[in-house]
Amino acid sequence: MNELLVNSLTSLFTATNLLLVLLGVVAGIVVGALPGLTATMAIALLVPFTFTMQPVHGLVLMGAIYVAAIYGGSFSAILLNTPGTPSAIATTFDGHPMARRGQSYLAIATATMASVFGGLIGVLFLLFLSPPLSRLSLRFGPPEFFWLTTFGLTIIATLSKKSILKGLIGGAFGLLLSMIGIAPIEGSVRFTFGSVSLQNGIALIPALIGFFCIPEVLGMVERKAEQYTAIPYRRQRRVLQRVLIRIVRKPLLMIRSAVIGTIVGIIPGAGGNIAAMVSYNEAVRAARNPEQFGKGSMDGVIAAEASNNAEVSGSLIPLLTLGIPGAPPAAVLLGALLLHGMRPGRELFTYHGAVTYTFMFSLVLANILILPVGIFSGRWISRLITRIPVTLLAPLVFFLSVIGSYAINRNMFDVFVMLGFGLIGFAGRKMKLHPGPIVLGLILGSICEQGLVQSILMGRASGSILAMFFTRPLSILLIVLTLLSAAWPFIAKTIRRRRAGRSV
Amino acid sequence: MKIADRIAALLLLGICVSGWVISRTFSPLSGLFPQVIVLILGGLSLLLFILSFFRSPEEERFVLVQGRALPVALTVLIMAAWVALISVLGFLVTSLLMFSLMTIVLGGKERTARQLVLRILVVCASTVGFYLFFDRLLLVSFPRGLLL
Repeated sequence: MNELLVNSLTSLFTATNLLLVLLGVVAGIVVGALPGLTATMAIALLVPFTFTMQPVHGLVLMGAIYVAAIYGGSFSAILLNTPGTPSAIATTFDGHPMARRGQSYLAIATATMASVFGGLIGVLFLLFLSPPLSRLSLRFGPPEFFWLTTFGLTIIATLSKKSILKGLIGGAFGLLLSMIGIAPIEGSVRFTFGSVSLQNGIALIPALIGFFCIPEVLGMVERKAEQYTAIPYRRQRRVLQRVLIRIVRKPLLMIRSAVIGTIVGIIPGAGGNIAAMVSYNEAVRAARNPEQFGKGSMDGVIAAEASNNAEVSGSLIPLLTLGIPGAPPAAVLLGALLLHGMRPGRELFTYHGAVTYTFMFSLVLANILILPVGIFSGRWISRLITRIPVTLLAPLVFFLSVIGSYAINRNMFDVFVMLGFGLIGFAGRKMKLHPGPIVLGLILGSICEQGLVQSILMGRASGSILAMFFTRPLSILLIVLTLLSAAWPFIAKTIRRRRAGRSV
Repeated sequence: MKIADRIAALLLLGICVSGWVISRTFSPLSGLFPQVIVLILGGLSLLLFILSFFRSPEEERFVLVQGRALPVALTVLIMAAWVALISVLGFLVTSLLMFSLMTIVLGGKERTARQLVLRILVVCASTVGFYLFFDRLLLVSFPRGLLL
């Protein structure tokens, strides 16, 4: 084990990997800072660039982009009051008021420090939780995988705050899409309508590019009338010390936010936006002066940014150990892992251990590099986000989407798939049917089906199908979690009503 | 969004009915999961359809930002043409044409001749740059059509 860790660290500190982490951090911050470009989109478009690279190089680059893009979203949240990525929504609440009263550098420095510390706490969880969890994954049989995916899908419903029904519809639609192609058991050819190209099923990466990039392109075209005006950004002395003192004086705020971010990240389907909102709410609840929040409180920025950067590593824990992504960017990383022939689970920590640990250590480095890159390139980035014209950006993203979806299988059919799902994704967004649940359904579908059918076969062989599903200890735990998660919206509603009743 | 919800629900119900009919031709274990999911999706779609009659008319509608419907529609058309023409004209030529066209269409009337030339130059440089990167460095052979 120690030898593996030393080898991984040695591998990380090669010139190529260091350069890739730096490149990823710079590119990630720029992508995250540009309103309309998200971390998911950046990673999805990057996958084809990495498929001729060694797996370790590709993963190191994508990991750095993921970490930095989530942080980069804070720039436009603070300077434009427009979150660069959905994860930065909560950063606008206090970051922009700070900028409006002339504290834009203080707000950016706070976001930077909080992102670095939050991100590092998240990576610690990733490093220490993933290996034991991957060992636990060896105890997962088909029934456990069935219940785990069912749990993941019920989470969709609870997280689709605007419409639980539409969240469920999206998830079920994604599951239906996952069934296209040859069935995993008994091998019937399903829903291909005679097309040979569909026999292998829907290719994941083109579908992800379609769902996450095309709606953004059309969204950019639609919002083009908006003119972004950034609040000026000037470096000031002693600001970094001030932020550091604030963080050291309130360690609980930082630790609580990072832990919330990590836990939300672990939950399948939840993203950085939810992590940041939950953490922000908790910071307000725990504050001595909650009325300061929303008016330019440093604590508000710390809570949001520490949480959304910790969520990055949290979302990788279920991905690396069980193959279930915690957030949309992690879903794209799953596609990249599979493309490089690496299956999540115990194998990733044994056979591919050197690559996996190098990847996890590279996230530590990426989080640290955010500090100098974010602070020193801040002025340049703040200028860039108001100068890149949508007229150029939108066609460029579409051009890269075409390349990305074609290059993986060198197949024009995948480009049609990408465009088709992109248009479905755009129409869906307009109807509050977000692509997250559809994508989660698409990814979890085959795992869920295999779990269900194999459990039935095992149950038949052992004499009781019901016992196979409902009596295994891990299955019982997952069933309880599934029921709790499914009932949570109703429980939360009842709690809110009771509280409102008491306050009256 | 009442009408949009209703149309989406009906479309999904149509998918579910055809999915159910098709899935009856599969072997028992291959058909089990699709049938379960089709039933769940069908039930949820029916619920969406019914609920669409009870929502208040003030709720958000399926609309684009005012005055942006035409650019969005044109962009979709260009995207479709871009993808369709790759096999006919070849990847490089189609991308150069469509990238430039999209830039011009999205730019509207708010640019000078100098800006236009500059943007076309950026378009050509990025298209050829990415093409060479993938074609020569990553050895991804893009479709070649009648032209290139």
